[in-house]
Amino acid sequence: MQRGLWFDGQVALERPVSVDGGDDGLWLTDDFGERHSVALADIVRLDGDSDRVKLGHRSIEGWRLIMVAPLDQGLIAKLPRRTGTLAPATGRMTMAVLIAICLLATLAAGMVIFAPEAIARHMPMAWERKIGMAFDLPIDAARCEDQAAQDALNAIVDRVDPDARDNGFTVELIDLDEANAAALPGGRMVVFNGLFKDIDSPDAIAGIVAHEIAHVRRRHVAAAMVRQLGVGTVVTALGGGAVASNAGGLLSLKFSRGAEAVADADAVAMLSRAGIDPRPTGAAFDGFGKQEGDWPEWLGDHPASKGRAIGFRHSYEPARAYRPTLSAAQTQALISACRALQ
Amino acid sequence: MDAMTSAASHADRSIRFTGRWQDFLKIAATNLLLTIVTLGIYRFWAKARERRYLWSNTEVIGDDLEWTGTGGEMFVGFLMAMGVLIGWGVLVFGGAAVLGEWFMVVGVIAFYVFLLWAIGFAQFRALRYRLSRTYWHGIRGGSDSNGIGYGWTALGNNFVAGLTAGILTPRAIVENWNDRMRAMSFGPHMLDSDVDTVGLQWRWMMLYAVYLGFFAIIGLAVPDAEAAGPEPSPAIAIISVVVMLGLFVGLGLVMISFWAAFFRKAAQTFRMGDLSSSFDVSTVEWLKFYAKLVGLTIITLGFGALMWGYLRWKFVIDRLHLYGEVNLDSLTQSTTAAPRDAEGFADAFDIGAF
Repeated sequence: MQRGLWFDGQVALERPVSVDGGDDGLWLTDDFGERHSVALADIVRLDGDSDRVKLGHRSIEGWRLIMVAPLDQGLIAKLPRRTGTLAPATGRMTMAVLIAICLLATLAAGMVIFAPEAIARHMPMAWERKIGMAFDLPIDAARCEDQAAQDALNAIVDRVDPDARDNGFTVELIDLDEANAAALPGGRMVVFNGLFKDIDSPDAIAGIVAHEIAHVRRRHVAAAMVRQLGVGTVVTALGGGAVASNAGGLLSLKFSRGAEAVADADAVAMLSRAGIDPRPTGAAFDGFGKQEGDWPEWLGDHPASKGRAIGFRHSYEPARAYRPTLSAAQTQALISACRALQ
Repeated sequence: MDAMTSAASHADRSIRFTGRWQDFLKIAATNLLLTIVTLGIYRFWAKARERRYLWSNTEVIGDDLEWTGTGGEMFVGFLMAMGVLIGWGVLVFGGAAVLGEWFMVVGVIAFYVFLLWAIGFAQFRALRYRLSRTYWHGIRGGSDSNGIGYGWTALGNNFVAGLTAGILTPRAIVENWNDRMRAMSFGPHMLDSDVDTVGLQWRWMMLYAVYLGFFAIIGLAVPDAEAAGPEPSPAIAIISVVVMLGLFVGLGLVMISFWAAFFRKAAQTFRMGDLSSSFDVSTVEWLKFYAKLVGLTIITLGFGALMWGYLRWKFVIDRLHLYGEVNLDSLTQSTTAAPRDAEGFADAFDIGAF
């Protein structure tokens, strides 16, 4: 006969019992001869070893039956073999949902880190525009208000990408002594007139503008924002009020090297489609290569200028009749705009 | 011994630890490996395993304790707490996006108040959770309070301590401790605690004395150092290192002496039904214990840290005494609700139940 100690879960009293196995349960008989039954289906094996087994009850908290050596192996064989816990069964469904949420969150974090482009492609352009509004004030303040120059710039845009302005993309001339051009969030591009100190070829300016348009079309700006600032900041920036404080972060956005190579390839194709001679752009990159070091940051992360120049030069087709990008008058209007102040 | 009662006053230890470090090391080592390979997620299950071992090897008046908490519920509790924190962030940023920046300012201030409140709340919930998952003779503990009110009174006590430049910190500590204990129960018995600040306040003031001493020495040394010219002599460099070390050692000693006295008082004034306790551990004993922990950890190249939980538990149980007797007939099942959030908040803020 198997001896055991039984706690009924109602009081702390410890009751010595004898345990008998029935067909689908156990019978416990205490020292007063009172018999209590428990169904096998309700029994959970909590722990134990070769000379001690501790059982619990699925629906009566604190119910414990402790059987000690010598153990009746026939009786033990009827019990659940594996040990378990008395955790509420409903917890498992909740657990599954929570684990799924965890996995999704991990996946989302992984996407932000490893595949920001995938997220960027699905981000509405309107969001980007709203974030780009952070730059409205500083850009409007520094804009070169010269209609002839802006018309010339628009002519370049229309040449390299005839749909760009219809799609709401803009290229504006900024009166700033920086040899730089940039694509801002929301399809807004800026060219600083400091660039024209080194580059006076309208073909080369077209190459640079094409490169920036490629960044915009490929959603590289959104990808860089997602990668560097996180989705949260992008969403926060949508609030509008908080945008100004994030403008600093937006200004230091850097495109990945892969994105730069893609933008270069796109620019080559755009120049070719527009019938613009790619060699001046190549020469411009040669020039950047020579003075790398004091070159502004938009080239800091760019593929080595030398290699890029070769890409543009190789696309030159000697037999082809290239057409000039701008007339001499347009070129003059563009490269001399607002320069008196500098 | 009467069949109906378990007496705690017999010559044998009424509470004793029967675990073996070899057994615990096996658990702790596998826990470490599993925690690493699961990027930390396993730590909730690890904690549950360690507790199940420690509890089941702690014998109180003739019968082992039993830990029924699971890793799953602790993980869920942690996620719930994180959900509240993240939800708050989304609310604040989302609200600011819709309503304007003022909402963010209000939201962030409210968030800090919430955090200060949540520290007390978390400590309360952690203690309640531990009692609700601790069984003895098939009976568990718990609390009928949800800890929300406690969070505010604890915040109030801490605020008063802050207003007095920390001087009333011991008052806040003992009041919070007493409040927390008095809200808990085991079976039908409410726990009681009546710690006061006698013997604690002057120890706390020693912290200020150590600081004052430090600044006094600096004040005396700096003019001399300046007189010595721009090139500090090696002697001055050594002295400044010694003074800095002195500050940290001094502060450490005061804190250990403070907490040693606190836990002596906490055990002395603890009541549960007819049970009382004592824990007469001196500052020197605590110092020796910590020296042992540090020494073991250094000798084992850091792996000794696996055993900290075991060694702390053993240190406390070996020195804890229970007096009085438990009437098993009247020790009935707890009627408190079993909490579902486990130690989520305490985990989220990384603080313990005590």
